[in-house]
Amino acid sequence: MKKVLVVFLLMLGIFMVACEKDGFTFIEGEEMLPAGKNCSSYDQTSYAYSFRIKGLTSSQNNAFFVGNSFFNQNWVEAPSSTTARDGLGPLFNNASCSGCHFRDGRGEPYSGLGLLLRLSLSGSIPEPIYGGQFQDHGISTADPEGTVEIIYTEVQGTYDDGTTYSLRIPTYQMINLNYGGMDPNVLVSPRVGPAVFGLGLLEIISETEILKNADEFDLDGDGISGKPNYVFDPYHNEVRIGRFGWKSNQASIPAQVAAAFNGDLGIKTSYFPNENYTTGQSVLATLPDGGVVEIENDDLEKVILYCRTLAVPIRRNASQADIVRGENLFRGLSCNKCHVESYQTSSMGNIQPLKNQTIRPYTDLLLHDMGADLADNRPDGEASGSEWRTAPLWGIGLLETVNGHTFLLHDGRARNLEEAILWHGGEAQQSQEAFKVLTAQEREDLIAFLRSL
Amino acid sequence: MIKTRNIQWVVLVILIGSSSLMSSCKKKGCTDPNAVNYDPSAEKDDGNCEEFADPYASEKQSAKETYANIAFAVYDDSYELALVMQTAINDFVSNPTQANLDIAKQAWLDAREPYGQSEIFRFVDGPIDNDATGPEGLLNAWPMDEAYVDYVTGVPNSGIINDLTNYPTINASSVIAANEFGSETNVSLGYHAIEFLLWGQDESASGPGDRPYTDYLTGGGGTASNQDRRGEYLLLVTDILVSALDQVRTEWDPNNSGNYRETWLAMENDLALRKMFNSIRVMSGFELSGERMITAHDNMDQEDEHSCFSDNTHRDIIANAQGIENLFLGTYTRTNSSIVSGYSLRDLCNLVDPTNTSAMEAQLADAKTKCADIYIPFDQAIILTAERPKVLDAANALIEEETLILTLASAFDINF
Repeated sequence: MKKVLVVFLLMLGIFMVACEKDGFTFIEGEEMLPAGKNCSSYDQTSYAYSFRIKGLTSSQNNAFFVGNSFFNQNWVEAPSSTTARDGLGPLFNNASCSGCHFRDGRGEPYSGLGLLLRLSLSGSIPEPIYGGQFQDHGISTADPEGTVEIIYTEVQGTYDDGTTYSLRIPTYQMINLNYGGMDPNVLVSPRVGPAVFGLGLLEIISETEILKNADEFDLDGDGISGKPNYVFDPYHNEVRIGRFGWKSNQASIPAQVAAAFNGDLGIKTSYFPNENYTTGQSVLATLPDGGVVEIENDDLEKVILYCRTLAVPIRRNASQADIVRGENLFRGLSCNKCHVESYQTSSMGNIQPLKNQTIRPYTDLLLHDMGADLADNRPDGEASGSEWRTAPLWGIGLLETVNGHTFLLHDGRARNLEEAILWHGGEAQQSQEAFKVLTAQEREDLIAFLRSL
Repeated sequence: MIKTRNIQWVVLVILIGSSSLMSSCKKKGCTDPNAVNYDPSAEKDDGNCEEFADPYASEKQSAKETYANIAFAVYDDSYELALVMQTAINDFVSNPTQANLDIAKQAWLDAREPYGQSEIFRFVDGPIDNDATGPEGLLNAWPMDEAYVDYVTGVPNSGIINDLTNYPTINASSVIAANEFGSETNVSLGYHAIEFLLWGQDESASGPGDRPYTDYLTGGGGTASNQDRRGEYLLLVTDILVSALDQVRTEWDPNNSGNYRETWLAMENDLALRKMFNSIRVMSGFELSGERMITAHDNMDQEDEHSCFSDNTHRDIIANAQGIENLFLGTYTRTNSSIVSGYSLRDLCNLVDPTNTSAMEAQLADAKTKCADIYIPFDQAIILTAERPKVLDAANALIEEETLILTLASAFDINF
């Protein structure tokens, strides 16, 4: 009898292991928390992206509140009685950070709600008159640069099971130009404001960890490269690996925040001390400004801290059968080769709760060729015209709850998760094709998994 | 022989064991996520789910009822006092005198008292601020963009009131569309819009704004321009405010059916409990302490003061703090002095963690005292060197409430 019991237990062990290999079991709690106990937020309401991480010092807490107010409230044109918040423009895309990142979430592909166009000529030279970004708003005494017009064309496609789908291809036009003709060879990159939670964790993944996934020349032959974008960081005054922005074109949160203040709001900082117009727009030079810098370093640091300390919402129903099946498909289709699941953060920086955390952002922060259909054909740093940074997927399932829409990808062309997957080309072509082979139930399972993030 | 028999026996066990294990691994089990023995790997329910019997189920239900009763009472009071304010504003616009302006201002101040206490019902996607229909943005959005609505010092033609080109007529749809377009910005509606239209910009160190009643005087003798449009705008924003409050009040009205009150009472106890804890932690640890106090303290800027035109921010702070206490202690004193009370969150917490429940009660009292100690007006409290520490003390006392409420919530396995 003893022997029998041993054999029985052995069998039990074998089958439990098998279950785990099928992905049916997981460590309770761990996968629910994308960023550990302190940096995950349990909130599931429309404020789900807006909570601060736990364990901040009292002065960091206070800085978070002030940063929040600078992030959310409108800047006004100078001069104004609101001296702390004047200096908007003269050209801008939005009057506040939250205008494009509403409730710390993702913008929509409309002017004033999160869309902007980056401009350059071949060789990464700014457009001679309109500069590096098209600002479609101006203060009361300055004409906007013009108007952005988007036209969508529907194109039909078919899954292997015969189900049809439709994708919309956008074309962008800049009309009503107020500062003269634009170079006909201008390269245009449309971009929508991404969500801003969890950024402080991505910022302190060590460069070594990022480079572990890099395979620029695809030496392992799996069809997937992964290339770091090395960019100059004006805040740290050195070249670093890019991590933020649709083409990993900013290396740090301070650089991202200061650049956005300058390009998107027309707010001067000590890192970008010039207004965002060109010599071709000298008419704007006579307008009053909000001072030598329009946000003081002290306040800028608080906005930076705010952007570093927004917590990541927890997953929902991670152990539900369809979601677990979807997670297995996510891996089976090799989505996780670029949407890399987990990292350990380093001990860099001065925000204690961010350090040494196991996080599950589902990104490698690297550039990948995403094919001709998604390409903007505008190089950015070392990113080519068809390369994009792998977008983090954490929190994506709450997008509709928080922002009331499900527009995805760099310019919001995808109207939902399914369309976003179908737009994947280039290095992701194999995964996209494998997705199209799935049954309707399997496709639903995969989407259910993504919605649980 | 024995050996052989043994092997046969083992093989039999393997076969039985493997088939039963395989089926339990891939198929049968309890599939109800709320059950105690929920099996996440199960694909087919085996009919053996054991439901979790919550020992505090009836207490939680009672706390939900008290919450709903207070919500209705506080929104009902807010609505009634907004109606009183609307009558006063109607009188003022049809007969603009200093006396009528003063009556309208007092009615606004009175109306703020219950509303400030109602704000504790925010942050949980309830009737006040759910994404689809919650009218919070039409009620209490701030900071107000003065120049977006009316003239300001140095810019006599600014604002919707003076913009005959883009707003040839002042009507509800155009004004609502202009409010908070795209984000929490361009505020043109709500209590603070009415406040601005009654008081005007506050440029005095000692007192509130001092808009002349003649800004509304039509037919000669008026100050500023577009007096008729200013009156229309004031009537319109007041009307929108009254309707918005009526909408929320109706959702909590116990005499109605099919409203949010029913949804709330039928809601899973722990989700409702979570929402109660959440409102307290957001109000104490973020909205009131952070956004309304610490930010103003740090920026030393009148723009960061909640009711900056009327200098009524000290009352906003006290009413918000009172709202936290109302929710926790399950008691609310109505405008007519009657008391709504019942089984409370405090009573419930006291069952599982009496130590921290007492600590929370003491903390609520301490924070209220510290809020009441803040110098009046608030725009000076954040500037005067001797007074500034009191603002921070009060804010920190509120943040301490957040710490305690998180601890109490965790005693119910509710994490944030």
